[in-house]
Amino acid sequence: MTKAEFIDQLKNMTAGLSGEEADKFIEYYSELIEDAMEEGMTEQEAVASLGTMEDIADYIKENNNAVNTQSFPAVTQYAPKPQPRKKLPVWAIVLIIIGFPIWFSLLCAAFSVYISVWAVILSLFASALAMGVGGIGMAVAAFFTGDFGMLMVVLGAGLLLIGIGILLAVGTVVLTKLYAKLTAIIVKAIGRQFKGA
Amino acid sequence: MDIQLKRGLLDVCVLAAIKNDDSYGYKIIKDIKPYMTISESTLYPILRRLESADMLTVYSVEHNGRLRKYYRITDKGQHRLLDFKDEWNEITDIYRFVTREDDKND
Repeated sequence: MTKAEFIDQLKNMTAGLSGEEADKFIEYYSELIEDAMEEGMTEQEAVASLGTMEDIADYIKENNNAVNTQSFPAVTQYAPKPQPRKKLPVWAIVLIIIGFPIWFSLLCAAFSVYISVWAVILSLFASALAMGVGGIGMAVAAFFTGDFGMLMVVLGAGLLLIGIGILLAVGTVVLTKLYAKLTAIIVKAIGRQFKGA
Repeated sequence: MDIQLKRGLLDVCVLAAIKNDDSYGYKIIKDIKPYMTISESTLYPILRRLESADMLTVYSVEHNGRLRKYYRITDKGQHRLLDFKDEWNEITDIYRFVTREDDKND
């Protein structure tokens, strides 16, 4: 096969690629043929040294995929190219500005709901603490009643209060953890939105 | 040789072929061939990949009335070769592990 014939076939094969990609392929192979001929090969030998047309077609396909998906082999690691951020279309920006009173108040409402849950958690902690302290106080005070029956009743009530306080504290800790986890999920989701999906 | 392993090594070999002097396609293949089998068609995607990873840059030089593309290694490419040295120590450790004698086999 002559160089011209080879290039012709290559042009057919690269028809699916963009013009620039196809040109690069053809330049690459014709340079190799020229260099091989300079080293003393005949034109036929130089073309034959490039392998069969089927193999080249496979490589073109593979390379096209590699360029498109940027898939790199496992052994070599490259930093991925930063994706350019997509710009919002004008209508979206206008909508965001016009809708400001609506979405901003909704945002505020959502935020206040979020904060109020923290307030509930805080008050649960406060009542658990109050129960614990009150219970201890009662249990201690029970010994100053001077009457055995009263001692038993007040001590019992005090211990009961401490018990409820501890249970409430444990429950509140679990609730806090869950809510913190939920917060992390929401923050992450918002972060992803801003990174530009 | 395992195809995945070979792909990774070929990338490094191409960088090694241009690490001291800029080179062009035909010469890169000629320099690598004594060490690894590489065809003209395998080199092309590697060059493209290394270029898009900023490990080498491409420029054209006139040669005998035609243009020849030369490839020049970047700092990042040189860095990749240094990393390869470190990786190779890990690989020799793995090699020792894989080929060790079964001395505790009863």
